[in-house]
Parts: sequence; structure tokens; C-alpha cells
Amino acid sequence: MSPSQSAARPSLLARLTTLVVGLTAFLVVTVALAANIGAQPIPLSLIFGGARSGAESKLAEIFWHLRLPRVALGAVVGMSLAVAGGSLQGLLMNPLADPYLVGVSAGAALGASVATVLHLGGVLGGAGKCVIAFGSGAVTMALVFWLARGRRRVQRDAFILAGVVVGSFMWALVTLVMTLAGQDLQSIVFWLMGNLYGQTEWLVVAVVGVLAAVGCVFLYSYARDLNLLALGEEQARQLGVETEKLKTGVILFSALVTAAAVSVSGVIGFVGLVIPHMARRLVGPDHRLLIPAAGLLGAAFLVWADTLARLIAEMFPVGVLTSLLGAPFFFYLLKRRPRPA
Amino acid sequence: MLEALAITVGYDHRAVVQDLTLTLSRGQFLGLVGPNGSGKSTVVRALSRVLRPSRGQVLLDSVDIYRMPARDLARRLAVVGQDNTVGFDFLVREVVLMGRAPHLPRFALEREHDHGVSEEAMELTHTRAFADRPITSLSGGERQRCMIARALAQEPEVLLLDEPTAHLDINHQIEILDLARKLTAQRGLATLVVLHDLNLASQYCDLLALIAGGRLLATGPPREVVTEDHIRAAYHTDVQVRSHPATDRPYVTLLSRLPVSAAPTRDTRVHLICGAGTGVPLMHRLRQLGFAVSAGVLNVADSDQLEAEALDLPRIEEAPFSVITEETHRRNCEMARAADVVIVTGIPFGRGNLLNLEAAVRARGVGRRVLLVDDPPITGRDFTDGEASALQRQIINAGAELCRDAADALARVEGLP
Repeated sequence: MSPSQSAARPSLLARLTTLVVGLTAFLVVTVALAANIGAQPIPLSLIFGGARSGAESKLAEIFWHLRLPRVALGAVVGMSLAVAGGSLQGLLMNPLADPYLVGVSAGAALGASVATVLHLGGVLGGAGKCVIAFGSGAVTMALVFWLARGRRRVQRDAFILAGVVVGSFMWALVTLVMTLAGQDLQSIVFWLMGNLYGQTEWLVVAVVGVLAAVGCVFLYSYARDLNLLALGEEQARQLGVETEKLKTGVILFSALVTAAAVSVSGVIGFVGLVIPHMARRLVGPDHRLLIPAAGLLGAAFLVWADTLARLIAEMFPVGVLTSLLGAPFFFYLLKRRPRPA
Repeated sequence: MLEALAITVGYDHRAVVQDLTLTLSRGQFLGLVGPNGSGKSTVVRALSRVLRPSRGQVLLDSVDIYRMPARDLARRLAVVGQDNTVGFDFLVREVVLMGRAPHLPRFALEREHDHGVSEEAMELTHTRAFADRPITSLSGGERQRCMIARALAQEPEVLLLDEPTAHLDINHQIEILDLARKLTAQRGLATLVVLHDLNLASQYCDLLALIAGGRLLATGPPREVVTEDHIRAAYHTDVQVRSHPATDRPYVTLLSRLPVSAAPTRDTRVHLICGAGTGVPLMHRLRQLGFAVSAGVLNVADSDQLEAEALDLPRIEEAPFSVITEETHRRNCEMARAADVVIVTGIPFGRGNLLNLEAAVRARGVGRRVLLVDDPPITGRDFTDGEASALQRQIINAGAELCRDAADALARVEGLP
């Protein structure tokens, strides 16, 4: 074996670097363009050059305080959902796993619905609904976890079942709230569809951004363990992986970033499910490449989807678009698949 | 040295393995054998820190493995399990590299040295050709070899192989066991192999441990462990254990369900005039059918003689490679007369054993039923310048039955009481 043979395939570090640099550049361009596009086109010179007139400063205002927060939040939400989805698919070894499997989205939906009906949205400086949604999402996650935890162990199958059971129950409660909502029904439905409308607070972006960043970093730290898990739980243990800590950690942090995302954007579908698959096709199953790839692709994807939504109508729910785009795309992926998972 | 000290291991409060003590030393190639469900895989799990024993300890160089971090053990002990499915389509190269994980800190990437170790491991298991293929595209046997490469990449001191030959073609089975044994010797590994095939285990392992019903039935060299009694106790079946001429290791032959050691159930006695291995199948079949069987004249060390001795048949023996004497011939005729049916098998006849055919003539002469198995035909095995063929014609003229082969002969006697 000559040294040149092992160097023929670029090292993991080289591939990771290329990947991160490439996709980040793509994301930056995406964000810049997305903030540019809208009812009021904003020239790039303005963004970099600064306002030089009253009219221009008004455009700058739109850019920095209306568009960019929304775009940035879209990127954060997209990244969170994709990373959570990818991590869960790796943990459960199930290609159909998505971040909503944990039951968090159902819990958050219930929280948001109740907050809407009880008119608690104005509480906490307008962030009441988000905080309540996040809280109920967290509680739901704890419930699922408690249900799934057998004798000192988390059984993966039990976990999926618990998530489905608790999630179904929560959704049933959401439906109940909807029937009792009266005039607030439209508001609830709009939230449920998943959208980034009206997200203009940089504080919200910052809080969610920090939560998402922390969660994603922790999830990334499990990347190699997730690789080893593909050999089977027993085999992974024999290679030194502490599988119980892995399962607990991945589920916890996936739930955290999902709750953070859902609390501000509602239930945006398909990002968490399809983006990891796209990323896997692009970079392979190694989670050390997959998770960053999924995160960056997810961010870019959601920004583009939301931009498209904004072009259609300012209030158009991006969740509708992701589902419309996502389902046929997933179908296409399935058809193309050369061999079963 | 890996020791299991009086371990009791089980699932859900049900003990599968009870009070088992096993020692595996450097340079030892130990085979763990036993029937399905006897606890072999459970033992492997207990030894690899996957399933904690409810009683007893597992020590690696006198340190309890359940008190050390999993990673520390993984640097010294590698396991290849029975299940080799991989959840995602990693390349073979990537899977083998996973064996380096215990040696790398959490966030470290694999370096030149790790790639080198993996390459060598693939080289040894002949899986280098698959290196850049997705592991999910390989056959079961090819995947197994990749997993063995992965285990070797861990650079272990102890190797546990759980049925590593399960899906492999015989050439690969030999290849893998040869490799494992060679590495054990060269690198001073302590290797435990769980094997289903008793003959493979007997041939390759210096030491065997036979486990049945969760308990250790026997340990020691194959000669002491692979015995008819032990196998009967463990598998509840009768087999034949002989010493393999080429390897001097015991080898097991499966027989049909009818035990050969049972007493005759029929009244008819059959006397076999045979030799040179032609009589073995008939000896077995006739005994299984419940006939009382005798044989003669057999030269000592002839394969038919050895078999008759093993089956403890009444027989007339002559010294090895010697001409049949008048005295031995007389006793043979007596034994033939005491029987109801005489069967002469397709023995090659020379001057030395022509008297055996003579005995058949005598038997016919006193009215015994005589069957001549003409397979291969007498002309091809007559080394007496035609005397044997002439004798055969004589017996047939006297009323003996000429059979096409042993099966034909059996068919003719099956109906006898």
C-alpha cells in the first residue's frame, strides 16, 4: 500500500472543510439575495455601502429590521430541523424519522393553541406564545422520554412508539382546542401551517439562534458515535460507545432545537425529513459530514422557500410550500433509490 | 488473560448461563461449542461488557471489565458478532476504519497510521478489493470478512468471534480460521471462537469448551471433549466419533435417528463376509434395521475390521496383511453356519483371502441363504487368475442371489423377521 493510494481519496478533514466553506458561501449568498428580494427590491450597494439619503435609509430600515431578521430566523429554523432530523435518523436508523417524532411539535402546537385561545400572546412583550409553546414542547418531550424509558434503558422502538402515542394524543387535544376556539381558529390554523411571517425581532432570532447553536453543537459531538451505531447497538457498545448516554443526548438535544424552532415558526414540514436524505446523497452517511451538510442545506433551503412564499404573498405560510415541494421531491428520491436502506 | 469466574448471566431475571468458569490465555485458540440456545452468544456478551453477569466476575488481566470504561476495554478486546447488518451504506473502507474508534479521542480524525492499520486488516482478510464499495452491496460472507477486518483494525489482545464461519463458503471458512489461528500465534492473541461445526472446531482449536443448558460440560483438548458420551449429553443424539486419519483429531459423523448401539430386535442373523471398507455401510444399515450382525474373516487394521470393532460385532479376525489360515477359515464357516443369511460384499479377491469366498460356498452348501453383492463386478476385482469368478459362478449355480449393489441386497433382507 503506497502512501499515494490512501491520499487518492481526500481526507475527511479536507472534505469537511470543502463542504463547510462551500455550503456556507452558498448560504451567505442565499441570505443576501433573499433579503434583497421582496415587494421592495433593495440594491446590494445599499447593504454594503450604507444609506445616503432618506429614501435609501428607509430601504435600509426594511432590510435590517424587516427582512433580514425573518431571513436569519428562517436559516436558524431550517438548520435546527435538518440537524435534528439527521441526528434522529442516525439514532433510530430509520429513514422516516423526523424531528417531530419526538412529540415535541405536537406539544408545542398545543401550547401555542391554548395561548392563542387564552389571548396570552401579548404576554412577555409579545413573545408569550413562543415561550408557552417552547415550554409545552419541553414538557411533552419529558413525557415521551419517561414513557419510553424501560428498566434503566431507552429502547429505540419503545421511543418511536411513545413519541407516536403522545404526539397523537396531543394533536387530538389541539383539535379539541380548535373546535372550542371560535374566532381564534384562523389564528391557530395559521400558526399550525408553519410560517415565518411577522418575525422581525432580533432578540427572538438571537435567543432561538443561541438555543439552536448549542443544541446543534452538542448533536454534532455525537457524530462519530452515530456512525458506530450503524453497526448495531451491541457492536457499538463493544467499540466503546456509551449507548445509553448517546440515546439520551441525541433525543434531548434534538427535542431542544426542535422546540426552539417550532415555538417561533409553527410546524414546518418536510425539512427535517428530506434535507438529511439530500445531504446523505451529497456527502454520504458519515455523520461527521452529514450533520453540517444537513444543517447548511436546511438553512439555505428554508430561506429559499420562505423567499418564494414572500413573493407569492407577504403572509403566505412557508410550511405549505415545504410540504408541496417536499412530498414530490421525496417521492423522486424514493424512485431513484438504487437499493433499499 | 481473560477470565470468567463463576458467572451467571441472563435476560429478564432468567439465567441462561449458570456458574460458568472459563479462562482464555494469550496464544490460546479456544473453541466454544454447544447446541443452539445453550448460551454461547450469552457468554460472548458477558465477556465483551455488553451483558453484565448477575453473579461472578469477568477479569481481563485481573481487572474487572465492568469497572473499566467501555473504551478502555474496546482498545484491547474486539468482537465479531453474528449479526453483520449495517444500517447505512458506508463504504467497506469506512466500516473497517470504525475499528480504530476506541484508539481515537472523541473528536480526533483518523490519521495515516489508522489508515495503514485498516489497509493491513483488509489485506489479511482479502477484502481490499471491496474497499470502495458500499458494505450493503456485499454478500453475507463478504460482509463477515469485512467485520473481521474491522475487529483486526482494533489491534486487540483478545478476539471473540461469534460464529465467524456461519455464512462462508468452505474455502473462506478455512481461510478465516487459518488466519485467526495464525494471528493468535504470531501476535499472542487470546482468541475465542464460537463454532457450530464440531468438526471444524475439533480440527482448528487446541482447546474446546462444550456448553449445554447454560453449563460447561467439558473443557480440554478436542480428543477429551468431542466424545460420543459428551455429544449425547449435550445434543441428545447418537453420533459416531472417530479419529481422523489425516489430523489425528476426533471427527463426528452424524447417523440417522436409529441408535446403532441398541440390541438386535429381529431374530434373523446376518453374517457379513467383507473387507477393505466394503462392509461398513451394510454393517450400519443392518444394525439399524435391528438385525444381529457378525463379520469375518477380517484382517486386523482393515477398515472393515476397525468398524466392526467399534460396533462391537462378533467377528473372526486374522493377523494384519496375512493370508487367511485354515483355522481362521474354519471358525468363519462356523459363524456363517450360525447365521441365517450370508452376504458377501464387493471385496477384491486375492490368494490371501480367497478362502472367504470358499466360506460362502460352504454356507450355501448347508442351505443358508447367500447374497453376493456384485458391485463392482467380480471381473474387475478378481486377482486370482479367474478362480474367484469361478467360485462365484459355482455359488450362484448352487442357488445364491446375485445383487446389483448393497441397496439391492438390503431390499432383499428388509422383510425378514
